[in-house]
Amino acid sequence: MTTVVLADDEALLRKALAALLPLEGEITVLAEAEDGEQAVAATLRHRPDVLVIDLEMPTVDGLGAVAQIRRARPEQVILMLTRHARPGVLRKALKLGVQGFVSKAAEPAHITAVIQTLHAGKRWIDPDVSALAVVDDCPLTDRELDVLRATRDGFSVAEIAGRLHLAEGTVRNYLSNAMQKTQTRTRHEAARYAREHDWL
Amino acid sequence: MTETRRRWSGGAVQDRLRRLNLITTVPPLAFVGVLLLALTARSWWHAGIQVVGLVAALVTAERWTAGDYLRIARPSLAVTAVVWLAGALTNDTAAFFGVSVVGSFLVPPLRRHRLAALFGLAALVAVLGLPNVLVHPDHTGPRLLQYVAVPAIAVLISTGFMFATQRLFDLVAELEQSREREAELAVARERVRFASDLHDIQGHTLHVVKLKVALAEKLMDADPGRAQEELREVHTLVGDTIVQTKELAYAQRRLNLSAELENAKNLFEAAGIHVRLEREAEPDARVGELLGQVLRETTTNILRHAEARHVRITLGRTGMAIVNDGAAEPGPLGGLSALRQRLAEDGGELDVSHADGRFLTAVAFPELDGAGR
Repeated sequence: MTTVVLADDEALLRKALAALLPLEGEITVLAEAEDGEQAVAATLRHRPDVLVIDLEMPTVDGLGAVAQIRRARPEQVILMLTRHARPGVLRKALKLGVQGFVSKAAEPAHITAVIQTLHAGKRWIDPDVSALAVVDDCPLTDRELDVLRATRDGFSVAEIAGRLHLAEGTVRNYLSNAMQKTQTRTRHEAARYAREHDWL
Repeated sequence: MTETRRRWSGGAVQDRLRRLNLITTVPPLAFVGVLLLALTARSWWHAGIQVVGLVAALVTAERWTAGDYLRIARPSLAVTAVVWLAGALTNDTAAFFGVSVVGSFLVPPLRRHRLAALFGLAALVAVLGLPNVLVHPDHTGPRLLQYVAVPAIAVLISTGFMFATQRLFDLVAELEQSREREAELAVARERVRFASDLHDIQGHTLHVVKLKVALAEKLMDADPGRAQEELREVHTLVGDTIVQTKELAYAQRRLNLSAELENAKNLFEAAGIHVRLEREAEPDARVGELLGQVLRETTTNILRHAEARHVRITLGRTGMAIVNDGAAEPGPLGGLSALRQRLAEDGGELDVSHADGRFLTAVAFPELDGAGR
Protein backbone atom coordinates (compact mmCIF):
# COMPACT_ATOMS: atom_id res chain seq x y z
CA MET A 1 0.00 0.00 0.00
CA THR A 2 1.38 3.38 -1.04
CA THR A 3 0.12 6.57 0.57
CA VAL A 4 -0.03 9.83 -1.37
CA VAL A 5 -0.97 13.47 -0.99
CA LEU A 6 -2.48 14.93 -4.14
CA ALA A 7 -1.95 18.62 -4.88
CA ASP A 8 -3.56 20.21 -7.93
CA ASP A 9 -5.51 23.45 -8.28
CA GLU A 10 -7.71 22.01 -11.04
CA ALA A 11 -10.49 20.48 -8.95
CA LEU A 12 -11.94 18.37 -11.77
CA LEU A 13 -8.64 16.71 -12.52
CA ARG A 14 -7.66 16.29 -8.88
CA LYS A 15 -10.97 14.69 -7.94
CA ALA A 16 -10.79 12.39 -10.97
CA LEU A 17 -7.26 11.30 -10.02
CA ALA A 18 -8.22 10.90 -6.35
CA ALA A 19 -11.04 8.60 -7.43
CA LEU A 20 -9.07 6.70 -10.08
CA LEU A 21 -5.72 6.10 -8.35
CA PRO A 22 -7.11 3.82 -5.59
CA LEU A 23 -9.04 1.92 -8.27
CA GLU A 24 -5.94 1.37 -10.40
CA GLY A 25 -3.62 0.04 -7.73
CA GLU A 26 -2.68 -0.17 -4.10
CA ILE A 27 -2.82 3.54 -3.42
CA THR A 28 -4.42 5.51 -0.59
CA VAL A 29 -4.98 9.24 -1.00
CA LEU A 30 -4.35 10.74 2.47
CA ALA A 31 -5.22 14.31 1.58
CA GLU A 32 -5.88 16.66 -1.31
CA ALA A 33 -4.52 20.20 -1.64
CA GLU A 34 -5.59 22.91 -4.03
CA ASP A 35 -2.58 25.19 -3.88
CA GLY A 36 1.09 25.19 -2.97
CA GLU A 37 0.62 26.33 0.63
CA GLN A 38 -1.93 23.61 1.36
CA ALA A 39 0.36 21.08 -0.31
CA VAL A 40 3.21 22.01 2.05
CA ALA A 41 0.96 21.82 5.12
CA ALA A 42 -0.69 18.53 4.09
CA THR A 43 2.64 16.87 3.27
CA LEU A 44 4.21 17.86 6.58
CA ARG A 45 1.13 16.69 8.53
CA HIS A 46 0.42 13.39 6.71
CA ARG A 47 3.96 12.36 5.70
CA PRO A 48 2.86 10.46 2.59
CA ASP A 49 5.09 7.93 0.80
CA VAL A 50 4.79 10.02 -2.35
CA LEU A 51 3.67 13.59 -2.88
CA VAL A 52 1.95 14.00 -6.26
CA ILE A 53 2.03 17.68 -7.08
CA ASP A 54 0.99 19.80 -10.03
CA LEU A 55 3.64 22.16 -11.34
CA GLU A 56 1.31 25.00 -12.28
CA MET A 57 -0.61 26.28 -9.24
CA PRO A 58 -1.64 29.67 -7.85
CA THR A 59 0.08 31.44 -4.90
CA VAL A 60 3.00 29.03 -4.33
CA ASP A 61 3.61 26.94 -7.47
CA GLY A 62 4.79 23.32 -7.51
CA LEU A 63 8.50 24.20 -7.52
CA GLY A 64 8.08 26.68 -4.66
CA ALA A 65 6.15 24.14 -2.58
CA VAL A 66 8.75 21.44 -3.28
CA ALA A 67 11.54 23.77 -2.16
CA GLN A 68 9.73 24.38 1.15
CA ILE A 69 8.98 20.70 1.70
CA ARG A 70 12.62 19.74 0.95
CA ARG A 71 13.78 21.94 3.83
CA ALA A 72 11.56 20.15 6.36
CA ARG A 73 11.53 16.65 4.84
CA PRO A 74 14.63 16.09 2.66
CA GLU A 75 13.69 12.44 2.17
CA GLN A 76 10.20 13.13 0.77
CA VAL A 77 9.58 11.31 -2.54
CA ILE A 78 7.95 13.66 -5.03
CA LEU A 79 6.19 13.09 -8.34
CA MET A 80 5.56 16.21 -10.35
CA LEU A 81 2.71 16.47 -12.82
CA THR A 82 2.82 18.97 -15.61
CA ARG A 83 0.56 20.05 -18.43
CA HIS A 84 3.23 21.75 -20.51
CA ALA A 85 6.58 22.02 -18.82
CA ARG A 86 8.03 25.46 -19.45
CA PRO A 87 11.63 25.49 -20.63
CA GLY A 88 14.02 25.04 -17.75
CA VAL A 89 11.42 23.56 -15.38
CA LEU A 90 12.68 19.99 -15.54
CA ARG A 91 16.21 21.26 -14.86
CA LYS A 92 15.00 23.20 -11.78
CA ALA A 93 12.91 20.27 -10.55
CA LEU A 94 15.85 17.88 -10.85
CA LYS A 95 17.96 20.34 -8.88
CA LEU A 96 15.33 20.24 -6.12
CA GLY A 97 15.60 16.46 -6.11
CA VAL A 98 12.22 15.67 -7.62
CA GLN A 99 12.25 11.95 -8.42
CA GLY A 100 9.51 11.79 -11.03
CA PHE A 101 8.07 13.86 -13.82
CA VAL A 102 4.90 12.82 -15.61
CA SER A 103 2.65 14.54 -18.11
CA LYS A 104 -0.81 15.33 -16.81
CA ALA A 105 -2.24 13.84 -19.96
CA ALA A 106 -0.88 10.41 -18.99
CA GLU A 107 -3.26 7.51 -18.33
CA PRO A 108 -4.17 7.06 -14.65
CA ALA A 109 -2.75 3.54 -14.86
CA HIS A 110 0.58 4.99 -15.94
CA ILE A 111 0.58 7.54 -13.11
CA THR A 112 -0.17 4.71 -10.67
CA ALA A 113 2.73 2.66 -12.03
CA VAL A 114 5.10 5.63 -11.73
CA ILE A 115 3.99 6.31 -8.13
CA GLN A 116 4.89 2.73 -7.27
CA THR A 117 8.20 2.95 -9.15
CA LEU A 118 9.16 6.03 -7.16
CA HIS A 119 8.06 4.42 -3.90
CA ALA A 120 10.44 1.55 -4.74
CA GLY A 121 13.28 4.12 -4.72
CA LYS A 122 13.69 4.61 -8.46
CA ARG A 123 13.47 7.67 -10.66
CA TRP A 124 11.03 8.17 -13.52
CA ILE A 125 10.89 10.91 -16.10
CA ASP A 126 8.47 10.61 -18.98
CA PRO A 127 10.46 10.40 -22.22
CA ASP A 128 8.50 13.19 -23.90
CA VAL A 129 9.13 15.51 -20.93
CA SER A 130 12.90 14.98 -20.94
CA ALA A 131 13.20 15.01 -24.74
CA LEU A 132 11.31 18.28 -24.74
CA ALA A 133 13.63 19.69 -22.09
CA VAL A 134 16.58 18.91 -24.36
CA VAL A 135 15.10 20.67 -27.41
CA ASP A 136 13.12 23.39 -25.69
CA ASP A 137 15.33 24.89 -23.04
CA CYS A 138 17.54 27.93 -23.48
CA PRO A 139 21.18 26.82 -23.60
CA LEU A 140 22.51 30.34 -23.10
CA THR A 141 23.69 31.72 -19.77
CA ASP A 142 22.32 34.99 -18.37
CA ARG A 143 25.45 36.89 -19.39
CA GLU A 144 25.33 35.48 -22.92
CA LEU A 145 21.72 36.63 -23.11
CA ASP A 146 22.73 40.10 -21.88
CA VAL A 147 25.30 40.58 -24.64
CA LEU A 148 22.90 39.27 -27.29
CA ARG A 149 20.20 41.66 -26.04
CA ALA A 150 22.62 44.56 -26.41
CA THR A 151 23.68 43.27 -29.84
CA ARG A 152 20.07 43.20 -30.96
CA ASP A 153 19.74 46.84 -29.92
CA GLY A 154 22.59 47.67 -32.27
CA PHE A 155 25.42 48.33 -29.82
CA SER A 156 29.03 47.67 -30.74
CA VAL A 157 31.27 45.38 -28.71
CA ALA A 158 32.94 48.38 -27.05
CA GLU A 159 29.55 49.88 -26.15
CA ILE A 160 28.29 46.55 -24.77
CA ALA A 161 31.42 46.29 -22.62
CA GLY A 162 30.76 49.79 -21.29
CA ARG A 163 27.09 49.17 -20.57
CA LEU A 164 27.59 45.83 -18.82
CA HIS A 165 30.78 46.92 -17.02
CA LEU A 166 32.80 44.11 -18.60
CA ALA A 167 36.12 43.98 -20.42
CA GLU A 168 35.85 43.88 -24.21
CA GLY A 169 37.62 40.52 -24.29
CA THR A 170 35.03 39.10 -21.90
CA VAL A 171 32.20 40.38 -24.08
CA ARG A 172 33.86 38.77 -27.11
CA ASN A 173 34.08 35.48 -25.20
CA TYR A 174 30.40 35.57 -24.30
CA LEU A 175 29.51 36.39 -27.90
CA SER A 176 31.61 33.58 -29.29
CA ASN A 177 30.06 31.11 -26.81
CA ALA A 178 26.61 32.28 -27.86
CA MET A 179 27.51 31.96 -31.54
CA GLN A 180 28.87 28.48 -30.94
CA LYS A 181 25.75 27.34 -29.10
CA THR A 182 23.42 28.78 -31.71
CA GLN A 183 25.60 27.58 -34.61
CA THR A 184 25.71 31.04 -36.15
CA ARG A 185 28.56 32.93 -37.77
CA THR A 186 27.97 36.50 -36.61
CA ARG A 187 26.77 37.96 -33.34
CA HIS A 188 23.80 39.49 -35.16
CA GLU A 189 22.73 36.08 -36.44
CA ALA A 190 23.09 34.74 -32.90
CA ALA A 191 20.88 37.55 -31.56
CA ARG A 192 18.27 36.83 -34.24
CA TYR A 193 18.36 33.09 -33.44
CA ALA A 194 17.86 33.82 -29.75
CA ARG A 195 15.05 36.23 -30.50
CA GLU A 196 13.30 33.72 -32.74
CA HIS A 197 13.44 31.18 -29.94
CA ASP A 198 12.02 33.72 -27.50
CA TRP A 199 15.04 33.68 -25.23
CA LEU A 200 15.69 37.41 -25.09
CA MET B 1 5.50 41.53 -23.42
CA THR B 2 6.64 41.39 -27.05
CA GLU B 3 5.04 44.80 -27.59
CA THR B 4 7.05 46.55 -24.92
CA ARG B 5 10.23 44.76 -25.90
CA ARG B 6 9.90 45.76 -29.52
CA ARG B 7 9.22 49.33 -28.62
CA TRP B 8 12.15 49.32 -26.28
CA SER B 9 14.50 48.11 -29.01
CA GLY B 10 13.06 50.70 -31.42
CA GLY B 11 13.73 53.30 -28.74
CA ALA B 12 17.33 52.12 -28.51
CA VAL B 13 17.80 52.70 -32.26
CA GLN B 14 16.27 56.17 -31.90
CA ASP B 15 18.57 56.92 -28.99
CA ARG B 16 21.61 56.04 -31.03
CA LEU B 17 20.42 58.13 -33.95
CA ARG B 18 19.84 61.04 -31.60
CA ARG B 19 23.32 60.78 -30.15
CA LEU B 20 24.81 60.62 -33.63
CA ASN B 21 22.86 63.75 -34.60
CA LEU B 22 24.08 65.52 -31.51
CA ILE B 23 27.71 64.74 -32.31
CA THR B 24 27.45 65.71 -35.98
CA THR B 25 25.53 68.99 -35.49
CA VAL B 26 26.32 70.73 -32.22
CA PRO B 27 30.17 70.73 -32.21
CA PRO B 28 30.53 71.94 -35.85
CA LEU B 29 27.97 74.69 -35.22
CA ALA B 30 29.78 75.76 -32.06
CA PHE B 31 33.08 75.72 -33.94
CA VAL B 32 31.80 77.87 -36.82
CA GLY B 33 30.10 80.24 -34.37
CA VAL B 34 33.27 80.74 -32.33
CA LEU B 35 35.35 81.12 -35.50
CA LEU B 36 32.99 83.82 -36.79
CA LEU B 37 33.17 85.52 -33.43
CA ALA B 38 36.96 85.54 -33.48
CA LEU B 39 37.21 86.76 -37.07
CA THR B 40 34.45 89.36 -37.23
CA ALA B 41 33.74 90.77 -33.77
CA ARG B 42 35.26 94.24 -33.53
CA SER B 43 33.89 95.25 -30.14
CA TRP B 44 32.58 93.77 -26.89
CA TRP B 45 29.09 94.65 -28.12
CA HIS B 46 29.58 92.55 -31.25
CA ALA B 47 31.00 89.68 -29.22
CA GLY B 48 28.08 89.93 -26.76
CA ILE B 49 25.27 89.75 -29.31
CA GLN B 50 27.01 87.02 -31.31
CA VAL B 51 27.32 84.92 -28.15
CA VAL B 52 23.60 85.40 -27.47
CA GLY B 53 22.78 84.31 -31.04
CA LEU B 54 25.17 81.35 -30.87
CA VAL B 55 23.74 80.11 -27.56
CA ALA B 56 20.18 80.31 -28.95
CA ALA B 57 21.32 78.39 -32.06
CA LEU B 58 23.06 75.66 -30.03
CA VAL B 59 20.11 75.24 -27.66
CA THR B 60 17.80 74.85 -30.66
CA ALA B 61 20.18 72.32 -32.25
CA GLU B 62 20.38 70.29 -29.06
CA ARG B 63 16.59 70.27 -28.66
CA TRP B 64 16.21 69.36 -32.34
CA THR B 65 18.34 66.23 -31.88
CA ALA B 66 16.10 65.28 -28.94
CA GLY B 67 13.04 65.69 -31.19
CA ASP B 68 11.64 68.42 -28.95
CA TYR B 69 12.58 71.66 -30.73
CA LEU B 70 9.10 73.16 -31.25
CA ARG B 71 8.74 74.73 -27.80
CA ILE B 72 12.17 76.32 -27.96
CA ALA B 73 12.27 77.14 -31.70
CA ARG B 74 9.96 80.17 -31.73
CA PRO B 75 11.56 82.01 -28.79
CA SER B 76 14.96 81.18 -30.31
CA LEU B 77 13.89 82.58 -33.66
CA ALA B 78 12.73 85.79 -31.97
CA VAL B 79 15.99 86.14 -29.99
CA THR B 80 18.22 85.48 -33.00
CA ALA B 81 16.13 87.82 -35.18
CA VAL B 82 16.62 90.59 -32.65
CA VAL B 83 20.34 89.74 -32.51
CA TRP B 84 20.59 90.04 -36.29
CA LEU B 85 18.69 93.36 -36.30
CA ALA B 86 20.98 94.68 -33.57
CA GLY B 87 24.00 93.41 -35.49
CA ALA B 88 22.83 94.98 -38.73
CA LEU B 89 22.35 98.35 -37.02
CA THR B 90 25.87 98.21 -35.53
CA ASN B 91 27.81 96.94 -38.56
CA ASP B 92 28.16 93.31 -37.38
CA THR B 93 27.94 91.26 -40.61
CA ALA B 94 28.23 87.90 -38.82
CA ALA B 95 25.25 88.41 -36.48
CA PHE B 96 22.90 86.58 -38.92
CA PHE B 97 24.57 83.22 -38.04
CA GLY B 98 22.10 82.54 -35.22
CA VAL B 99 18.97 83.27 -37.18
CA SER B 100 20.11 81.21 -40.16
CA VAL B 101 20.82 78.18 -37.93
CA VAL B 102 17.54 78.40 -36.00
CA GLY B 103 15.60 78.98 -39.23
CA SER B 104 17.14 75.99 -40.94
CA PHE B 105 16.06 73.77 -38.04
CA LEU B 106 12.59 75.26 -37.93
CA VAL B 107 11.52 75.09 -41.58
CA PRO B 108 12.24 71.52 -42.87
CA PRO B 109 10.10 69.61 -40.34
CA LEU B 110 7.02 71.72 -41.18
CA ARG B 111 4.22 69.63 -42.64
CA ARG B 112 2.89 72.18 -45.17
CA HIS B 113 3.97 75.36 -46.96
CA ARG B 114 7.60 74.54 -46.45
CA LEU B 115 8.73 76.37 -49.58
CA ALA B 116 6.75 79.45 -48.58
CA ALA B 117 8.28 79.28 -45.09
CA LEU B 118 11.74 78.94 -46.62
CA PHE B 119 11.40 82.09 -48.75
CA GLY B 120 9.62 83.87 -45.91
CA LEU B 121 12.62 83.15 -43.70
CA ALA B 122 15.03 84.43 -46.35
CA ALA B 123 12.88 87.55 -46.76
CA LEU B 124 12.83 88.08 -42.97
CA VAL B 125 16.63 87.87 -42.81
CA ALA B 126 16.89 90.29 -45.75
CA VAL B 127 14.43 92.74 -44.19
CA LEU B 128 16.22 92.60 -40.81
CA GLY B 129 19.51 93.40 -42.57
CA LEU B 130 18.03 96.27 -44.59
CA PRO B 131 18.13 98.91 -41.75
CA ASN B 132 21.95 98.85 -42.03
CA VAL B 133 21.66 100.23 -45.57
CA LEU B 134 19.02 102.71 -44.48
CA VAL B 135 20.92 104.19 -41.50
CA HIS B 136 24.31 104.26 -43.22
CA PRO B 137 24.10 106.32 -46.45
CA ASP B 138 27.64 105.37 -47.65
CA HIS B 139 28.64 102.30 -49.75
CA THR B 140 25.04 101.33 -50.52
CA GLY B 141 26.03 98.65 -53.08
CA PRO B 142 28.46 96.67 -50.86
CA ARG B 143 26.14 97.10 -47.84
CA LEU B 144 23.18 95.67 -49.79
CA LEU B 145 25.37 92.72 -50.70
CA GLN B 146 26.75 92.19 -47.16
CA TYR B 147 23.60 92.74 -45.11
CA VAL B 148 20.78 91.68 -47.43
CA ALA B 149 21.86 89.43 -50.30
CA VAL B 150 24.55 87.29 -48.58
CA PRO B 151 22.54 86.54 -45.37
CA ALA B 152 19.38 85.75 -47.39
CA ILE B 153 21.27 83.39 -49.71
CA ALA B 154 23.15 81.80 -46.80
CA VAL B 155 19.84 81.08 -45.08
CA LEU B 156 18.47 79.55 -48.28
CA ILE B 157 21.51 77.28 -48.66
CA SER B 158 21.74 76.16 -45.03
CA THR B 159 18.01 75.47 -44.88
CA GLY B 160 18.14 73.62 -48.19
CA PHE B 161 20.91 71.47 -46.75
CA MET B 162 18.74 70.74 -43.71
CA PHE B 163 15.93 69.62 -46.01
CA ALA B 164 18.20 66.87 -47.29
CA THR B 165 19.20 65.86 -43.75
CA GLN B 166 15.58 65.83 -42.66
CA ARG B 167 14.72 63.50 -45.57
CA LEU B 168 17.48 61.15 -44.47
CA PHE B 169 16.17 60.98 -40.91
CA ASP B 170 12.60 60.49 -42.09
CA LEU B 171 13.84 57.61 -44.21
CA VAL B 172 15.60 55.97 -41.26
CA ALA B 173 12.49 56.37 -39.09
CA GLU B 174 10.36 54.89 -41.87
CA LEU B 175 12.69 51.92 -42.25
CA GLU B 176 12.55 51.30 -38.53
CA GLN B 177 8.76 51.47 -38.59
CA SER B 178 8.41 49.11 -41.52
CA ARG B 179 10.77 46.67 -39.83
CA GLU B 180 8.51 46.69 -36.77
CA ARG B 181 5.39 46.30 -38.89
CA GLU B 182 6.89 43.39 -40.75
CA ALA B 183 7.67 41.64 -37.48
CA GLU B 184 4.11 42.27 -36.26
CA LEU B 185 2.69 40.96 -39.50
CA ALA B 186 4.76 37.79 -39.28
CA VAL B 187 3.49 37.19 -35.75
CA ALA B 188 -0.12 37.79 -36.83
CA ARG B 189 0.22 35.41 -39.80
CA GLU B 190 1.69 32.74 -37.58
CA ARG B 191 -1.19 33.17 -35.13
CA VAL B 192 -3.77 32.68 -37.85
CA ARG B 193 -2.01 29.59 -39.17
CA PHE B 194 -1.74 28.14 -35.68
CA ALA B 195 -5.39 28.87 -34.88
CA SER B 196 -6.61 27.14 -38.01
CA ASP B 197 -4.39 24.11 -37.40
CA LEU B 198 -5.65 23.92 -33.82
CA HIS B 199 -9.23 24.13 -35.02
CA ASP B 200 -8.64 21.36 -37.57
CA ILE B 201 -7.28 19.06 -34.89
CA GLN B 202 -9.56 19.82 -31.95
CA GLY B 203 -12.77 21.07 -33.57
CA HIS B 204 -13.32 17.80 -35.38
CA THR B 205 -12.62 15.68 -32.31
CA LEU B 206 -14.92 17.72 -30.10
CA HIS B 207 -17.81 17.21 -32.51
CA VAL B 208 -17.28 13.48 -32.66
CA VAL B 209 -16.86 13.24 -28.88
CA LYS B 210 -20.07 15.19 -28.31
CA LEU B 211 -22.02 12.83 -30.58
CA LYS B 212 -20.49 9.70 -29.12
CA VAL B 213 -21.13 10.79 -25.53
CA ALA B 214 -24.75 11.59 -26.38
CA LEU B 215 -25.06 8.17 -27.99
CA ALA B 216 -23.49 6.42 -25.00
CA GLU B 217 -25.91 8.20 -22.69
CA LYS B 218 -28.87 6.93 -24.72
CA LEU B 219 -27.46 3.40 -24.88
CA MET B 220 -26.60 3.25 -21.19
CA ASP B 221 -29.74 1.36 -20.18
CA ALA B 222 -30.66 -0.39 -23.42
CA ASP B 223 -27.23 -1.69 -24.42
CA PRO B 224 -24.55 -1.13 -21.74
CA GLY B 225 -22.00 -3.10 -23.78
CA ARG B 226 -22.22 -0.74 -26.75
CA ALA B 227 -22.28 2.27 -24.46
CA GLN B 228 -19.00 1.09 -22.97
CA GLU B 229 -17.59 0.57 -26.46
CA GLU B 230 -18.52 4.14 -27.44
CA LEU B 231 -16.90 5.54 -24.29
CA ARG B 232 -13.71 3.60 -24.98
CA GLU B 233 -13.59 5.08 -28.48
CA VAL B 234 -14.05 8.55 -27.01
CA HIS B 235 -11.15 7.88 -24.67
CA THR B 236 -8.85 6.82 -27.54
CA LEU B 237 -9.93 9.72 -29.72
CA VAL B 238 -9.25 12.29 -27.02
CA GLY B 239 -5.86 10.68 -26.30
CA ASP B 240 -4.87 10.96 -29.98
CA THR B 241 -5.98 14.57 -30.07
CA ILE B 242 -3.88 15.41 -27.03
CA VAL B 243 -0.83 13.91 -28.77
CA GLN B 244 -1.53 15.82 -32.01
CA THR B 245 -2.06 19.10 -30.15
CA LYS B 246 1.23 18.64 -28.36
CA GLU B 247 3.02 17.98 -31.64
CA LEU B 248 1.47 21.12 -33.08
CA ALA B 249 2.63 23.21 -30.16
CA TYR B 250 6.18 21.90 -30.31
CA ALA B 251 6.56 21.43 -34.08
CA GLN B 252 8.67 24.57 -34.36
CA ARG B 253 10.75 23.72 -31.35
CA ARG B 254 13.89 22.33 -32.89
CA LEU B 255 17.30 23.45 -31.83
CA ASN B 256 20.64 22.72 -33.38
CA LEU B 257 22.76 19.93 -31.98
CA SER B 258 25.12 22.27 -30.12
CA ALA B 259 22.24 23.84 -28.20
CA GLU B 260 20.74 20.42 -27.48
CA LEU B 261 24.07 19.19 -26.15
CA GLU B 262 24.27 22.19 -23.87
CA ASN B 263 20.74 21.55 -22.57
CA ALA B 264 21.41 17.84 -22.05
CA LYS B 265 24.55 18.78 -20.10
CA ASN B 266 22.55 21.20 -17.93
CA LEU B 267 19.91 18.53 -17.25
CA PHE B 268 22.53 15.98 -16.19
CA GLU B 269 24.22 18.48 -13.93
CA ALA B 270 20.87 19.40 -12.36
CA ALA B 271 20.35 15.72 -11.57
CA GLY B 272 23.74 15.63 -9.85
CA ILE B 273 25.47 13.75 -12.69
CA HIS B 274 28.94 14.85 -13.69
CA VAL B 275 29.26 15.49 -17.44
CA ARG B 276 32.28 15.68 -19.69
CA LEU B 277 31.73 16.95 -23.18
CA GLU B 278 34.43 16.32 -25.77
CA ARG B 279 34.14 17.86 -29.20
CA GLU B 280 36.59 16.28 -31.56
CA ALA B 281 34.98 17.98 -34.55
CA GLU B 282 31.89 19.91 -35.52
CA PRO B 283 29.23 17.42 -36.61
CA ASP B 284 28.28 17.29 -40.27
CA ALA B 285 25.10 19.29 -40.91
CA ARG B 286 23.42 16.31 -42.57
CA VAL B 287 23.54 14.15 -39.45
CA GLY B 288 22.89 16.83 -36.81
CA GLU B 289 19.16 16.11 -36.58
CA LEU B 290 19.66 12.35 -36.19
CA LEU B 291 22.44 12.76 -33.64
CA GLY B 292 20.06 15.07 -31.77
CA GLN B 293 17.43 12.33 -31.63
CA VAL B 294 19.95 9.82 -30.27
CA LEU B 295 21.06 12.38 -27.69
CA ARG B 296 17.48 13.03 -26.53
CA GLU B 297 16.70 9.33 -26.24
CA THR B 298 19.94 8.55 -24.41
CA THR B 299 19.51 11.50 -22.05
CA THR B 300 16.03 10.27 -21.18
CA ASN B 301 17.29 6.75 -20.56
CA ILE B 302 20.17 7.85 -18.36
CA LEU B 303 17.97 10.18 -16.31
CA ARG B 304 15.36 7.50 -15.88
CA HIS B 305 16.98 4.09 -15.53
CA ALA B 306 20.55 4.54 -14.50
CA GLU B 307 22.05 5.54 -11.19
CA ALA B 308 24.68 7.38 -13.16
CA ARG B 309 27.35 9.55 -11.53
CA HIS B 310 29.40 10.27 -14.64
CA VAL B 311 28.48 10.76 -18.28
CA ARG B 312 30.95 11.36 -21.10
CA ILE B 313 29.73 12.63 -24.45
CA THR B 314 32.15 12.58 -27.37
CA LEU B 315 31.17 14.34 -30.55
CA GLY B 316 32.88 13.75 -33.87
CA ARG B 317 32.20 14.92 -37.41
CA THR B 318 30.08 11.90 -38.33
CA GLY B 319 29.29 10.29 -35.02
CA MET B 320 28.70 10.55 -31.32
CA ALA B 321 29.42 8.34 -28.34
CA ILE B 322 27.82 8.56 -24.91
CA VAL B 323 29.18 6.55 -21.99
CA ASN B 324 27.56 6.47 -18.56
CA ASP B 325 28.27 4.52 -15.42
CA GLY B 326 25.82 3.19 -12.86
CA ALA B 327 23.98 1.12 -15.44
CA ALA B 328 22.18 -1.98 -14.19
CA GLU B 329 21.74 -4.98 -16.48
CA PRO B 330 20.61 -3.74 -19.90
CA GLY B 331 16.85 -3.63 -20.11
CA PRO B 332 14.80 -3.53 -23.28
CA LEU B 333 16.10 -0.82 -25.58
CA GLY B 334 12.68 0.78 -26.08
CA GLY B 335 13.04 4.04 -27.94
CA LEU B 336 16.58 3.26 -29.06
CA SER B 337 15.58 0.21 -31.10
CA ALA B 338 13.04 2.30 -33.01
CA LEU B 339 15.78 4.86 -33.58
CA ARG B 340 18.15 2.18 -34.86
CA GLN B 341 15.72 1.52 -37.71
CA ARG B 342 15.52 5.18 -38.64
CA LEU B 343 19.30 5.54 -38.50
CA ALA B 344 19.79 2.48 -40.72
CA GLU B 345 17.62 4.11 -43.40
CA ASP B 346 20.05 7.03 -43.49
CA GLY B 347 23.17 4.87 -43.44
CA GLY B 348 23.76 5.23 -39.71
CA GLU B 349 24.78 2.51 -37.26
CA LEU B 350 23.75 2.44 -33.64
CA ASP B 351 25.81 0.42 -31.19
CA VAL B 352 24.92 -0.17 -27.58
CA SER B 353 27.06 -2.20 -25.22
CA HIS B 354 27.15 -2.84 -21.53
CA ALA B 355 30.15 -3.86 -19.44
CA ASP B 356 31.15 -3.40 -15.77
CA GLY B 357 28.17 -1.18 -15.04
CA ARG B 358 29.10 1.09 -17.94
CA PHE B 359 26.74 1.68 -20.76
CA LEU B 360 27.93 2.85 -24.18
CA THR B 361 25.68 4.32 -26.84
CA ALA B 362 27.53 5.01 -30.08
CA VAL B 363 26.20 6.22 -33.38
CA ALA B 364 28.26 6.49 -36.57
CA PHE B 365 27.71 7.25 -40.24
CA PRO B 366 30.56 5.32 -41.92
CA GLU B 367 29.49 6.10 -45.51
CA LEU B 368 29.50 9.80 -44.85
CA ASP B 369 32.93 9.49 -43.31
CA GLY B 370 34.28 7.89 -46.48
CA ALA B 371 32.68 10.47 -48.72
CA GLY B 372 34.10 13.30 -46.67
CA ARG B 373 37.69 12.28 -47.20
